[in-house]
Amino acid sequence: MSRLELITPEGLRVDGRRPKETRRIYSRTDLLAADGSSYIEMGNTKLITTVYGPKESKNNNSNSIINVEFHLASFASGSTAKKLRNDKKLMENSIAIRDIFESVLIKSFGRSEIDVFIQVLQSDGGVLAAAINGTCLALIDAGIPITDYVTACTAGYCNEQAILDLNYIEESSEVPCLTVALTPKNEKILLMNMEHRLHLDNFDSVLSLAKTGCQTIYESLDECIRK
Amino acid sequence: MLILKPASHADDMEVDRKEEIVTPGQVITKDLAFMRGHGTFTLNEQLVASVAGKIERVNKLVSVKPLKTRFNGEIGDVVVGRIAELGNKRWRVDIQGRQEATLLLSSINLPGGVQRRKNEADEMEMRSFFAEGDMLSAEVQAFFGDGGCSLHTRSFKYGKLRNGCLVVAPSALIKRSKSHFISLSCGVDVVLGLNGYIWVQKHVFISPEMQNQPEGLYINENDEISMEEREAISRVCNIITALVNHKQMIYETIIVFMYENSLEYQPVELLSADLQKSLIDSAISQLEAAE
Amino acid sequence: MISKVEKDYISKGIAAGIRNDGRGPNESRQLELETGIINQASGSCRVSVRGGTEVLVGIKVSVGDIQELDTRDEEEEAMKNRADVGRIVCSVECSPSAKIVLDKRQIEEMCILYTQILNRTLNGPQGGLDLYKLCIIPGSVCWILNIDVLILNYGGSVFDAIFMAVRGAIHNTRLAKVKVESTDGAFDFEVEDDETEVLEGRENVPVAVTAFQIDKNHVIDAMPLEEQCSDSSVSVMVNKHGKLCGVQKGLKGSLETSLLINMIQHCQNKGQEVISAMDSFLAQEERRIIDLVEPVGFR
Repeated sequence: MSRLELITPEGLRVDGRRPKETRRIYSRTDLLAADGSSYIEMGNTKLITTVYGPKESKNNNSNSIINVEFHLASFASGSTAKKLRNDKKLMENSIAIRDIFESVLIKSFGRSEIDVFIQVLQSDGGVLAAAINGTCLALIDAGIPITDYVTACTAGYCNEQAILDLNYIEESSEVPCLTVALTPKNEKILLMNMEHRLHLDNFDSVLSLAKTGCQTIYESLDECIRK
Repeated sequence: MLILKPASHADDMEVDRKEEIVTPGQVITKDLAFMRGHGTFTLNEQLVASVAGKIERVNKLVSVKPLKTRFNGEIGDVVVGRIAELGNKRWRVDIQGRQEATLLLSSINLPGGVQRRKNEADEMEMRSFFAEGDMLSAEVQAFFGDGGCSLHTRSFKYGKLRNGCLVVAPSALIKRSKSHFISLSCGVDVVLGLNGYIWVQKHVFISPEMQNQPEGLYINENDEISMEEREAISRVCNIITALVNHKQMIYETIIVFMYENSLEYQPVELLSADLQKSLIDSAISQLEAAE
Repeated sequence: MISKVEKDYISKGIAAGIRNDGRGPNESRQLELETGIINQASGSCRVSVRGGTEVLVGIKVSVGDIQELDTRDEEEEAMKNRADVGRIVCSVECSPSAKIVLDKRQIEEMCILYTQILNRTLNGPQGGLDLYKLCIIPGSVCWILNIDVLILNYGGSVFDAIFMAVRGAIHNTRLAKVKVESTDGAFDFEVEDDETEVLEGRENVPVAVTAFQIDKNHVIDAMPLEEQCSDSSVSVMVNKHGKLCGVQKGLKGSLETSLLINMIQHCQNKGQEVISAMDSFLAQEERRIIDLVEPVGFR
């Protein structure tokens, strides 16, 4: 099988984007009868996030806690591999999202919990990042106080350049892929995952590109909320 | 007949642009003279918003009112709730809030007169007063340390609800007003719980004599309800559902206007999206004309 | 959860012919239906009932071995032994919005039940689809339709919405054409990417109509509170020609035979209405797709 050319000599990527361009983002809130809900599209990655809470907690916790569940529909991915309910990767994502949002939550409720459910309808790369963005929107839609937005984006390195917002084809080739989540106001990083190998020299440029990507996404999400 | 319609965009619904909207993380003011209310927090001597919504300034108190949020009650609020479980000398009541509310045995009216003190037998027979699933109206009496609220039904206008049905609305759409017990001219009573539970029932006339003999406080049966009364109740339920679907504030005047405008249609026709929109629009223009 | 007085109000109302929202016992709520909203799926459909229930169905078509199934299930054994048909595999999942009305165990049971009913109804001649056409090379390779149902919002009458969405998704599914060649008795096949065809027999796929019994009457398209008033339900799968493709009784109560037959007949009639309304709507959808108008989806 021939190796796909991820960046053409003219500087265009597989889907026609420039290296530092994010995919088209569409988002909206309040689509289901839940406390908070959001629908987000980052390119062809589409997912719905629903938030229930704060509500009565069956465990006796003194702090608010967040329960996160990640669902990947069988028709969501490109392959027809049987969806594994207890897929470790999905669980890892759930834990990551929980940790991120518990840290921006303003702890003012006792004995209550918040349930977050993420349903991936179509996956084309950047699923964790889209899930983080979707959760952020849904929490805001539910009127749950948080200290700031949390936006996330992926970035990689290929052909001597840093590229932004990887799709599935780019992710599944051997391009190093960095997922970053941060709070836009103070640029503090809440999550950072990286796959494959990346030379330390190039790390900075990839990271700063990811941060810029997050800011761009923040502007887009903020606009959506204001509507 | 089955009605199928093509999907429509969410943006088709008009929302008026609000000017003073803030989003989480946005700085409201750097002036330390202001006190922080709901929906805000302080960071580095600045007042920052923690939810997305409109800024409200009352004297020195600045708060942000989010568009949607779970019921956050205040003392004196009228709520409608459903008994979730029985506990030790108390009931846990579901009010669609952050936590279940508590109704203490000592906070209800006991049959046999106002002065009767509670005794052992009452505790055993708690179920004969309120059982799981029962609907009731009550007032918020106090708050516990963990944020949960305590209810009471010590006035005769509160108590077990019957002869009707429930409509659920987001609590943010219930407008605060002087009275939450509405009597419509068509023989339908509405209890607008500030927590979003709305009870629509056949009108019940309580004479002063009845108030002094609370034997019938905890009856578990409905009275006779005629077909016309049922139609009126379902009409009002559909009107309230229409207001919920179109994110309109719910209060007496708008319900009355919409009711009058809707009389030419059958109650079931009021379920159609287009008809709901036109009824709401005409009611709103009536309201604006009245001002 | 429901109070005694609410139950009484609902059941007396239905006896008089009027439900809480003014509908008659046989009237259903307004629906929205849209097909083709998930590009990566071979077929998809979304059904939302005004007032709550929202269901999304996606179908993924794949090529698989006929002997792949390794199961002890008797029914599946019977299907496995047929070496010349394709296969349909269904699965139903529920988003936790249903937790408002049901608890976790009830949700799981509901999903398992619906999955089984779907599998049973569709895998066979009563399902309408021509399963023989789904066979590529007899005895070795066939098409497998993976039908995945996602319940996004629970607002009563979920099973009916599921079946409607499955029917819509099947209608929307396009199968790639396959060229089968044989050399020296050995068969080989090639999937042609450009040409697609519809599924044979899609117009014969049934719909389901569920009636919930409340005292001596029954209602169709029940709301969650009405479902809680009911002790037993009957789901009837009926196709375009009025033939019964499946009947399932639900919930824990017992039904008198005469009431049961009554309910089945009502459902059958209702089912025909549903199918004819659906078919004209699906034809509209086809035109929309040909005209390349974008679906609304979740926007």
